Parts: sequence; structure tokens; C-alpha cells
Amino acid sequence: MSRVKPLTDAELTEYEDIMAPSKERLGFIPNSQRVMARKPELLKAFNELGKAVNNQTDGSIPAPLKYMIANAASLSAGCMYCVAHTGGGTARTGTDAEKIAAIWEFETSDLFSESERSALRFAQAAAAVPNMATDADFADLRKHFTEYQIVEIVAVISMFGFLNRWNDTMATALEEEPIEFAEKNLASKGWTRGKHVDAAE
Amino acid sequence: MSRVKALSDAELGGLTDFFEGGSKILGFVPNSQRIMAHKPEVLRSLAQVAAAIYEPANSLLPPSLKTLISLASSLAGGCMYCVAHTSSTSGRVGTDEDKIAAVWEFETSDLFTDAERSALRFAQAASSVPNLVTDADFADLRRYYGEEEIVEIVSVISLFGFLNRWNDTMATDLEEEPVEFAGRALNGTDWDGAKHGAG
Repeated sequence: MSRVKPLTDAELTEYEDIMAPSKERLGFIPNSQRVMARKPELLKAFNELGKAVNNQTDGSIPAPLKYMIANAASLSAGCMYCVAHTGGGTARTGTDAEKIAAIWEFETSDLFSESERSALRFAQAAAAVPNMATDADFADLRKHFTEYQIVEIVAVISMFGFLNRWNDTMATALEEEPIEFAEKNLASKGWTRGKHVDAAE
Repeated sequence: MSRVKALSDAELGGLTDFFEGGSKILGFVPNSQRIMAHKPEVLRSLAQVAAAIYEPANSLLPPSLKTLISLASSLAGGCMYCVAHTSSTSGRVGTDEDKIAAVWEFETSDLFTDAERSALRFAQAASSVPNLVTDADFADLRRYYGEEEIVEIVSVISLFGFLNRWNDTMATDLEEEPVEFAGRALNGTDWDGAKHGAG
């Protein structure tokens, strides 16, 4: 059960404009945002941060890779709420579910390119505590990515530094759609809902 | 040395507006922001997130408690750049240097109230991997803080979830002011700025 109560639809009516982008993207308002709505100015600013990090420019890394990086970082930090959400998010960018599940074994799976593997390895190291990213990891990244792209990669990992702490501290209850995605595609790899269950269950 | 180049004043050019809030508080533009300026929209929106948490109009908790929480959080997250910054910021908002150094032993130090100790214990647990926060930690927090104050505490810890990863991954170089502060006030602790170009 979420440790701070998520706001209901009725309680959210005055924040409809803030919620609109995620509702459109996901088809539902995630509980992480329903909890963050307790501090509406934060929710509004954080959604701007999400847009900025995901903003695709001419020099950007591909959008599916951003989601896979978010997934690998969340997995490394152990937030199963974020793993389910970023898994579903990756699928929405057109990535096969089989490849999303293979992030659990990206080092040995042949579904990834060398550049993807470099980015996922980096995400895993940078989301660990203590931080395991080394100069050698940066040197390897530079074989595949520009300086600007590396900044984008670290921005994704860092935004999930916020979200991993937020959702794993709040024990945010998972919603139907990401549960369905994760149970179908990730449970065989070891994903469980853990603490992210609803009060009624 | 920072693993991605921190932009110079000249390279920042028109971006200086985004820093206004930060540079007013700090008196300088920190290297963490000079690196983030490679993707300016991220810098601009992260500044909005920080304002949503720290602007007095958006705050229920005293600034001194929030900076101590960000320090305990950065310490558990292991980012020595953030530890130096949150220590010097704690000094700037009026916390004694003895008390800042005592965050390393807040459980046993008599410089903290029970309410402060509850928040620092929570910050430490929430910044660990795996996350160590329990329902019992929430119950303890609720003895001292209202629901909206708890949301504020988790907001600070989560913002530093971003900053701990950013600065410890980038190995951001420390600037003169926080190095000087940490060198003096944290002298008796195990603070070590070597990864961040200090010492």
C-alpha cells in the first residue's frame, strides 16, 4: 500500500492540466503522480523535467534507448515499481517485449547492439550505491556516443535517481497496466511486485 | 576531473538566466550546473523542481532541517560532491559546524532532537540501495511530522537521488567554497573529495 495516500480523481480535478500529458501517454494517471500531487508545484515542475529529459533533438539517442536505460537503472537500484513502468514505457516506443525482458541479461543476450550494451552497463553501474561508474565506462561510452548523448544518458539515469527513491520509499502501489506487462514479460526473469501492492489486496 | 566538460562563463552565454536562483544563493555557478548546461532544458526544469521544494512559499519545514536531510541522504548515497555542498549550505542557513559534522553520528549525538533524528534516519534508509525504508520508519516520522511535511521530506531525498547520481557519475569537480568548508568543518569525519578533484 502506498505509504502516503494517492489523490483520487475527485481530489485531482483542479490539477487536470498538470496530469493531462501522462494521462494521454499512459491512458491512466500513475499513482506516483497521484502521491506527488500532494505537492502540486513539485508535480508540475517534475513533469517539465520529464519532458526535458525525453526531449528528442537532432543529436539525441533514440527514444527506445532512453527507456531501456531507465529500465536498467531502476533494476540496478531495485525499484520494481519503476521497472514495471519503464518496461511498459519501452514497449510503447515499439520495442519487442522479448528484448525488454532480455535487459535482465543484456551482457550475454544477442538482442542488443554494442552501443546499447555499453549504455545499459553504464546505467547499471551509475545506479548502484556506491556508484560504480568508472573512467573506463566513460571511455567505452565515448566509442559509441557523443558528449551531448552522454549527458542525455546521465540525465535519464539521474531522473530515475529521483523516481527510484520516490517510489521505493513511498511503496507506490502499482496500477493494472504495468502489472499486466511485468507479470507477463518480466516475472520469469525474477520481477515481483514486492511492496508495491494495493491496500485492498 | 569532471568526466564531461563543465561549460565556462563564455560558453554558458545566454544560459545565465537559469542560474540566477542558484548563483544568488551560492554566489557562484556550481560545476554540476555547468555540465548540465549541455542540455539546457534539463537544467532549466531541474531548477524548477528545486524551487518547488525549496522556495519559502512552498515549504513547511525549516531550511536547516532540509539541508541536514539532503546531507544525510548524500552521505548514504555516497556522493562526496553533494556532501560538501549540502554541508556548506547547512552552514549558510545558520547551522553550527559542530552539528553539521555530527550528522555522521546523529543517532548518538546530543545535538539533535528526536524529530531531527527520525528524519535523518529516514533519509539514510531511503537513500540506500536496496531502499531500507520500512512502515515502522513512516510510523516514527508521523510522530513528529504531518503528511504534507513527510511528502516534503521525501521530495528532498528524491531530488538528491537525482543529484547524487548526476554528480557521482560525472565525478563533478568541487569548487573552492565547498572544498574550503568541508576541509574545515568535516575535518574529523571520513569525508574525502578526491574523486571530485579535492585533495
